Amino acid sequence: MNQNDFIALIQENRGIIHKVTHLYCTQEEDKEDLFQEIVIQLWKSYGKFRGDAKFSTWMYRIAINTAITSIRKTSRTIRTVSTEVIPVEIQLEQYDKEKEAQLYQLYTAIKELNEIERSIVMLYLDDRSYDEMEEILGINQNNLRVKMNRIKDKLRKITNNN
Amino acid sequence: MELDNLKSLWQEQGQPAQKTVSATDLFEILKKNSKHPIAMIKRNVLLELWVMIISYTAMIVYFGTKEQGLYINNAIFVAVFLFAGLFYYSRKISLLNKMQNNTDKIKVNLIKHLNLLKKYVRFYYWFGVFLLPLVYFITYMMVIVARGQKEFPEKTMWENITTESSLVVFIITGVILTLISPFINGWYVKKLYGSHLNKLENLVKQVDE
Repeated sequence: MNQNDFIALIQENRGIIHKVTHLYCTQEEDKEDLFQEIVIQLWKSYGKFRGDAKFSTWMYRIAINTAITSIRKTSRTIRTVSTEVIPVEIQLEQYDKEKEAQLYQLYTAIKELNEIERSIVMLYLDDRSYDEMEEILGINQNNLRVKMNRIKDKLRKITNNN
Repeated sequence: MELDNLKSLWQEQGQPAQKTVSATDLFEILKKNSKHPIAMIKRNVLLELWVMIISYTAMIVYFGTKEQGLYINNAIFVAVFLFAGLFYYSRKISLLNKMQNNTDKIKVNLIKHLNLLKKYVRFYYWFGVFLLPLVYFITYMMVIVARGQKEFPEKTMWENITTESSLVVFIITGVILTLISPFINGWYVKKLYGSHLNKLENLVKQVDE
């Protein structure tokens, strides 16, 4: 196992870990803890990675598994948190006010979903195919489509209520 | 809010604007211990195992060599405990090792994790239910056998036990302890693992609903 190769792969795909930490944690400290935990778990399992799935697929699996099986308080009180909902780097650059507001609304709404729904919506927004979603989540595609429709309805309701 | 319209906005956040993490920071992370609940349980179990091996071995040596082997029976009792303990901890560690795998699909992993944790908790519970009265019984035996050997060396071990004045109190207390042991253990196991079990059951329900 080459640690340098592993580090390079993590840096290349770090966006996946960041997205998972943003979705499952609210406080910056929790996000850092979860980031570290995911990297540790990826490293522990790296020896078993045989390349039969894409590295990103394998990474999503471990990152989501780690996030949902670690005991953490869920972010149900997210309505009271303002700027922490959106990743800091997005607030600082590139985005106009309207986009920032949309993104804020999106993150706030997603955090109202349960843990499994959050992972589904993350994969959907990342434009993963239903094949790949099934490969990561182990939920069959028909069921995933039903869940996705339910999630869309739920998100609409949440944003209308806010 | 339409989710499909927000896809591109979402995807941009994974691009270069994302926080960079230096290779040095990542190397540092790899040196750290995992804070995952299972990893923490495993570290505690390993610590308990080492404490047991060291303390029980010391007791066996102490009883085995004291007064030219007069307390050899006590050394045997402790050795039995040590073997039972080794079986107990090896079983726990084997289940925890299986629980540490997280490369499976999310649904498979959750179901596997939940079943293994249930098995672990059942094992912990039943071992505790039997262990509490057994430890009480054997510790008592060790005390009266040791005392009998010192005070009445002419009597056999059995005679020392049956003529012990506190035997009735011991039996009554032992019965009470045996009866309440399932409740004490049930409460303790639930306190230790109840929330993690509930969390996993809830996640499996979320996947299935």
